[in-house]
Amino acid sequence: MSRRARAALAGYLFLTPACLLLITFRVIPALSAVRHAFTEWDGVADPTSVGLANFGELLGDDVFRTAVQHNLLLVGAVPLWLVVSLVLALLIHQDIPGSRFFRAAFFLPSVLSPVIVGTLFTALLRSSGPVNGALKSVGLGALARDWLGDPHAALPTMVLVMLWCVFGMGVIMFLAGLAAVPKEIFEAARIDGAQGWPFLIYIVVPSLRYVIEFWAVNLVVWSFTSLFAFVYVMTGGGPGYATMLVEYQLYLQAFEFDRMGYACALGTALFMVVFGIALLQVRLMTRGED
Amino acid sequence: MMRLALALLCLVSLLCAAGCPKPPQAETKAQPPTPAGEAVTLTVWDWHAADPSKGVGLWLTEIDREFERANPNVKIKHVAQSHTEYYEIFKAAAAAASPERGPDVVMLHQGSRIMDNTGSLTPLTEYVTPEFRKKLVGWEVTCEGYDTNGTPWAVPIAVQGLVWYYHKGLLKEAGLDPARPPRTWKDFLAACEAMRKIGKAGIAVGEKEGFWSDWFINSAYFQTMTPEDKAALVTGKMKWTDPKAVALVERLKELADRGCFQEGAMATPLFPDAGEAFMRGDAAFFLGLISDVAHWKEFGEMIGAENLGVMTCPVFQDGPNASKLPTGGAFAYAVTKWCLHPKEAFDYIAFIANDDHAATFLTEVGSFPANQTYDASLIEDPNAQAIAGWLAEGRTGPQMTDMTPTEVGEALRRECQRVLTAQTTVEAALAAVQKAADGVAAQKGTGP
Repeated sequence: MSRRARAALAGYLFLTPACLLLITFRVIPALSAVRHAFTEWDGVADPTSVGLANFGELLGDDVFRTAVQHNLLLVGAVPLWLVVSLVLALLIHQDIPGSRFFRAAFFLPSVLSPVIVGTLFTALLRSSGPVNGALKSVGLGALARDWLGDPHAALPTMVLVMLWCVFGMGVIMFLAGLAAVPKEIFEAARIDGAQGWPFLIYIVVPSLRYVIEFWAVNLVVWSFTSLFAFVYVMTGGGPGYATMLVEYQLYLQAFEFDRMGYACALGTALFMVVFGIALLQVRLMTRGED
Repeated sequence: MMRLALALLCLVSLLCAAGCPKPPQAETKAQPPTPAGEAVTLTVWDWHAADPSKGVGLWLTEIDREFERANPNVKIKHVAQSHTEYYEIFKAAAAAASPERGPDVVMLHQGSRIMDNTGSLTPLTEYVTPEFRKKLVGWEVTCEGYDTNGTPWAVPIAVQGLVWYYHKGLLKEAGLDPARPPRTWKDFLAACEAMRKIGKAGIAVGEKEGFWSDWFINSAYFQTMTPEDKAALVTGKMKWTDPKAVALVERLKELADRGCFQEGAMATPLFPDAGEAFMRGDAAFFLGLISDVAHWKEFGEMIGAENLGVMTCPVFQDGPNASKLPTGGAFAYAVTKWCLHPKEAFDYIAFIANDDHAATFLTEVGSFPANQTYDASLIEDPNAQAIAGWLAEGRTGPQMTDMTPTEVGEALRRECQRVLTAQTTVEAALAAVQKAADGVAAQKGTGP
């Protein structure tokens, strides 16, 4: 066996465990879910084929429609999540006093479990909690409300909690990206008089284009697939359906109503939506790259 | 090209693997009797065993040891499961369906939770004797078809019910007579208003999960519906949009509109936060339970039994059943279909439900047992005495939602939340509940 073939074999051998895990715990369950999306199944008895009935039901499902709207609203918040992280990363990158402390402090929420974050903010945001207490103490009592019990405030409040949880990771991403940009580019821009927003839009953003693309796609996928714990702990999707997200509806259908087949159809639809949006996003971002 | 072909081949193989038919599950076979003296371990699942130092957890722990002493060949392995995810975990165990891994005996809520899981349970017909059946109440929510003569799937252990507790000290503070709690709806609303005037709330409500609305409707439905109406609602002959159901949700809305709830009720969990608000004296009334938690014993220990009162739902529409309290939804024990020792498993359940343990369930745990042989003179607490009196008089009826499919119950709770937060009207909310009921009927091929 040639040296090259041996090296290739070693490479494949190293890849094998990861591939097996991926196939066993991701690919096969995902394909199985797609298969079950065409069945009526309670998770215990044998599934029975129902063709496209589950997808037909999805189209007329008011809760699904509401949940998708909420998910899209979260996707609409992605620019906010990006800008906050980017601006803070820039400030830290400029070595403002205490930047090392802020770097660690901003990152801290990212290592906390969503369950902990959800529990913490549920306590902070309750009607008689510290947030309303603080508002009242500075004369802003009119703004105090039942943050998670008011259907108009609950979803925006959750968006802010999620921002708090995730922005630190964005800051670290952008700091890594900024560290890779040659200092001369920023210095030249400054000498040419670029400051404030023009500096951010015309110098920083193009320099960090790939990091922004990567993080934006991540956030979009995250906003569709990783917020279950927040909803479960903080609101249960309520009041009513005010904070219902597709993944929470999927959980209810699968584990509360024993409708695994319909839940699989929801999961498949969710995958298609996320895949479509992510694809569109990458296309838009890489437009004119050549 | 070769690589593409290989990749496609792999993909097709995976699809085939994922799509290949599931091997048929092993059918349940009647288990041969366990040879005398053979060592048996029974795995018992419940949501009470998490804290064996007090309450039901302690009571069960003592029963386990007692049963092991009486049956030296049987070992009880009690496994505590989270109440929140209990049925999800049980369904996962049922899907695995293995005597080595799953439980032999499971605690289940009476009613639809049992009926939803009969495919994973052993019918207890051959073990439940007429004498045993006669001693216990609650069979109508543990037997097939909600019929006391149907196949028994579980043994009722406790009696649960909904009553209204009130804080006598707060009523007095508001200038009301604590010896005469408000009985009519008008007086009740006036009492809530009086509470507001002294800076307290009328009712301590926890509506985060929507359970409070569910409880309220169950507590009040005797005033607008007859048992026949309730049966018609279950079978779909009566619609959720019927004026009798509308009247209930309108009363619920009225409570919110009149500011009877404590601040932040919509984001407050029912357990334990709303009960704690009542015990702290933040509100004068609490719609609570008669057994287990959020009940007379818990509240009495905290605010003093002499300071606690109990009543049934305030009356807004008088009638022969207006002062009834709903019962049901307590816990029961069942034997799983994969259990290798169903006889021993049933013996264990019957041991829990025996006369001695019924008495200790009442005196030590402070909960009402399904076994009706207990001596009522054992009850010292005045509120428990009042409840026991109502139970003995037969001033009880089934819960309105005990046979409601889970999806419909969920829709009802969420729509009530929407009504309470002015996101929808009462009529639109109940139309949505009816739509959910129609959907379930279509799926299951049931309906009028």
